[in-house]
Amino acid sequence: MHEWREEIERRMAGSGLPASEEAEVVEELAQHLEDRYEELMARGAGEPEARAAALAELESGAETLASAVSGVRGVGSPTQPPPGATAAGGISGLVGDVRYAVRSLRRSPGYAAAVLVTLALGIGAASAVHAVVHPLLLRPLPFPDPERLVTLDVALIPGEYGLIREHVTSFDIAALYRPGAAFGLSGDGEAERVVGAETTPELFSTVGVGPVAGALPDAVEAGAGEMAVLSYGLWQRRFGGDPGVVGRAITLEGRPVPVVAVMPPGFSYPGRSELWLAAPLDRANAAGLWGTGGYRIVARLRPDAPAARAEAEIRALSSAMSDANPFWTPRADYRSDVRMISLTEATVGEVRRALWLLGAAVSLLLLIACGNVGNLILARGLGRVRELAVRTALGADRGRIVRQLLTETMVLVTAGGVLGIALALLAVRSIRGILPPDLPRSGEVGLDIGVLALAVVVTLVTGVLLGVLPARRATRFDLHHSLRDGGRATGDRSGRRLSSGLVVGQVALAVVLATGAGLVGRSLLSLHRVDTGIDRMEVVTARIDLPAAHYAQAARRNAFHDELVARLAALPGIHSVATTSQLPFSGHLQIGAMAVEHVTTDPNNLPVFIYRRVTPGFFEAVGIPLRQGRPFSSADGEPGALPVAIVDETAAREFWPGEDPIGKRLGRPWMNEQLVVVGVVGSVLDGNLAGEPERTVYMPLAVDPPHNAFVVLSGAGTGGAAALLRSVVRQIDPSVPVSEIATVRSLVGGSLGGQRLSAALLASFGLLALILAAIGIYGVLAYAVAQRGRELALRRALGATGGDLVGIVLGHGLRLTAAGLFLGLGATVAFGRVLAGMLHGVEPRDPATLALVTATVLAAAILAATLPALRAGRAEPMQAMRE
Amino acid sequence: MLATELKKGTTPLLVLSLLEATPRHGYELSKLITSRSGGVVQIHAASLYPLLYSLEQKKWVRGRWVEKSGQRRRRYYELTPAGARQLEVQRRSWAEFARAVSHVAGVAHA
Repeated sequence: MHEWREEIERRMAGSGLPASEEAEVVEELAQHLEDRYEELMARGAGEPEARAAALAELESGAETLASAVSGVRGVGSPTQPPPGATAAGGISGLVGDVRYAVRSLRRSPGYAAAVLVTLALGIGAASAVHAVVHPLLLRPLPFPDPERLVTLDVALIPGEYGLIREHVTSFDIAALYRPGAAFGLSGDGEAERVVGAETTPELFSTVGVGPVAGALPDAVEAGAGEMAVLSYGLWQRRFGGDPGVVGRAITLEGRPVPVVAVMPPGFSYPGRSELWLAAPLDRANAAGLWGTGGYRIVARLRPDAPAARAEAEIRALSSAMSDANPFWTPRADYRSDVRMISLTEATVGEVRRALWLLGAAVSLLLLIACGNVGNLILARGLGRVRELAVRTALGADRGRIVRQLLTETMVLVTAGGVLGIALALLAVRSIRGILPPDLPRSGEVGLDIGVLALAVVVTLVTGVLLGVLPARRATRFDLHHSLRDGGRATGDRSGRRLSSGLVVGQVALAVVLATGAGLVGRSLLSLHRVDTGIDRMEVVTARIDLPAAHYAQAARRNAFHDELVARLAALPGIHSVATTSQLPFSGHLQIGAMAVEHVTTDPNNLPVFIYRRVTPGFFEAVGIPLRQGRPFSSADGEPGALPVAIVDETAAREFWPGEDPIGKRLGRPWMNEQLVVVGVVGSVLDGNLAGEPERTVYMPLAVDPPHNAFVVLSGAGTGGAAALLRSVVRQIDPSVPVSEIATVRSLVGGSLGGQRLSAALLASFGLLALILAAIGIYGVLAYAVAQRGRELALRRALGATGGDLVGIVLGHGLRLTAAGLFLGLGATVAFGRVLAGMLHGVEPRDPATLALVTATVLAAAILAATLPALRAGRAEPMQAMRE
Repeated sequence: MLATELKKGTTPLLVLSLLEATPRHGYELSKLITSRSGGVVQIHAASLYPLLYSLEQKKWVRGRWVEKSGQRRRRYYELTPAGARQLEVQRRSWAEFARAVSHVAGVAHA
């Protein structure tokens, strides 16, 4: 008896009947089978015979037991309405529909999985990319009227800002700031280095953001002192949100600066500033006004003033600017080509195109995903036309069938959407991990309500579109034709061509993306192998910032450097210690022009060098080889010693080819500097692994000891070194912050952040495209096999083997794949030039990468084609006869 | 081929007729159909029960679980008044149809 029940229940799966109803049907049929079995046994039949005859009772032509029963059972019965039978689908009707859909999907796990994966990937990728693109690109700056905020495409000198404020009438207000400044903050706990900006006080009113505590003085009289403005984050972190901090002084760079205000949460302009040091321009100080560059201007245009007029006004100031500059005479055409750009453009300008491309690519992916799902649903619908026709014939009304199909699609789409959102959350987390830290506004990347709402809308629209199409199709069928033709769709050639074209396009897209990912990945690998010129990559480095107030005299700074080096060197296990003003790959570059005796002639066109001031042990500590001459000694830094320099091989080769560089002279003419070259060292790369080493000049650190320096330390692991460094520095002077502890290797790795991001994005898109393409191939082939069922069976009847049929379907899949491969490889080769600029050590037509991509795509295609091909191989000759 | 189509169209008539005298359960119905048609018409459970359910849905028959001592419960079907009327309609139209076919095909003269 139990055995009958199992057999019946298996055939009843997906009937959509309420459980109690189904149980009654199972009981009734089981009873019937048992009666038959017992009767046959009683008449002397063998057990297997009786069993087979009983089971034969469950056979009934083309229709499944489940669909035969679900169409008629219980409809009209007052107590148990069937799924969807109630008017306008009450809750119980909806639940029934959903249950029916879930059961019916469970019967086709391959189909359900393919649709789910496609939707989850499509929706997930679209949401994740939108989460990245939206804040970086589409959301306007978090300031009022952001379209009126402008900046210049060049860095300025404070004196120029003074002229602009006086003469440019198109601006309501303008502020000057130096981004990327860092301040040593001491007192109130351990000394730390805080990133921020030096700015004129107008910055805040220019962008139009007010403080949450304190007040920002708008008009500041000349001569007023410096003021500190805290970010909300710093206020909470360092001062526990104490409102009392406003009005009191904090210790910045060793000197007291009063805190005047705290900015609202989220305000971090420019970049990721945590602290603003606001000071009015000191017109009495000509050196301050004209001496240093690197400032940026941000201005608010008058409502009636076009940007072009402001730009013209600034260009007109060109000669006034050069006349007013007491320190040097700029070129005649100085500032005549300055360009005014919107602040939004300046903030996200560089990544804007990349982000648009990303957005376009992901929209395409979503579109393809929808196409895929459409194909899959069509293929499935086709396989069920006959079933639906029979059910209609038995009295199921069409509205109900449409509703069930729609419900089935919506169940899939909803599940896909949920999975997609989960995927998006994961993706956003990992994207945040690989975004370059200096990318503007990257802190705002995240899934928010808007992005989630978009995902939901995309999901619903997809569901309704995809659900309605096959549902409409299903109701258009003609009972007579469906029964006669066994459900072969006719006149559907254009649809088939469309889906084939879609698959070819998908494969091509996957090829392009996978090739791009492969090439950028290989390029990344080759960059990791580049010789930086630094032998000791594991050396530990840290940044130290000597507060300006305490270390105004060079002697004090030297004393600090000497003591730090001496104390660290005395520790057990430390091989060598040095400090330097600038470390390769630290992100801080100091460059300047120098005249080379007997080589450079034009004082207005001097070669630019990287300047590096180092203590004597530097070359040994980081492993830069000495090629000629001698390294620095401690005597070189003594007052009155002969001014000396060491150049790198690049400079030596350029200025004194074939000559002995030792004893040659170079220096900064405006400082009356004449440095004698005493040594030549190996060249090192800085910042760009794909670049060439730049000419570099080394000078003894003691001659002009910097406030901001890097200490390098070999012989200790990173973990131990960090604690060691902090404790030694604290012993010498607790007001000196230690930051940016790293190894040179990690600094070098960090310089690849942008490349790593594009490689990771390309790789995930490539993988995504590959999966979608595979699902696409599967969908089209499954569709074709369902459509050609009768043809395949006929071939089988005419003598083709199952293997032949498998071959036919595999061949179909491979033809589509080959077309896509051909297109994709062609596009890759054609667009190779675009990629070439991003690549290092690998050609855009790298045969190994192209071969690997081809092999991967083919493997994926074969995998995708296998299932439908095997199904085709099982086609039975009898099928052709029956239908 | 013709037999199959005929069978499809006539099974409801057979079932309704067999229920005219007394309520019966499904297995009994299937056995009676086979034996009374001399084996020409056979109906499997997979077709019989959906047919019964659809007749029930149209309110021509009514199903009821009946327990008899010493046996498992069975579902008995009885003819409703609407079913009895429908049986008359079907009988008449079948007779007309059979007469027409016989006439045209010359069965009566064979």
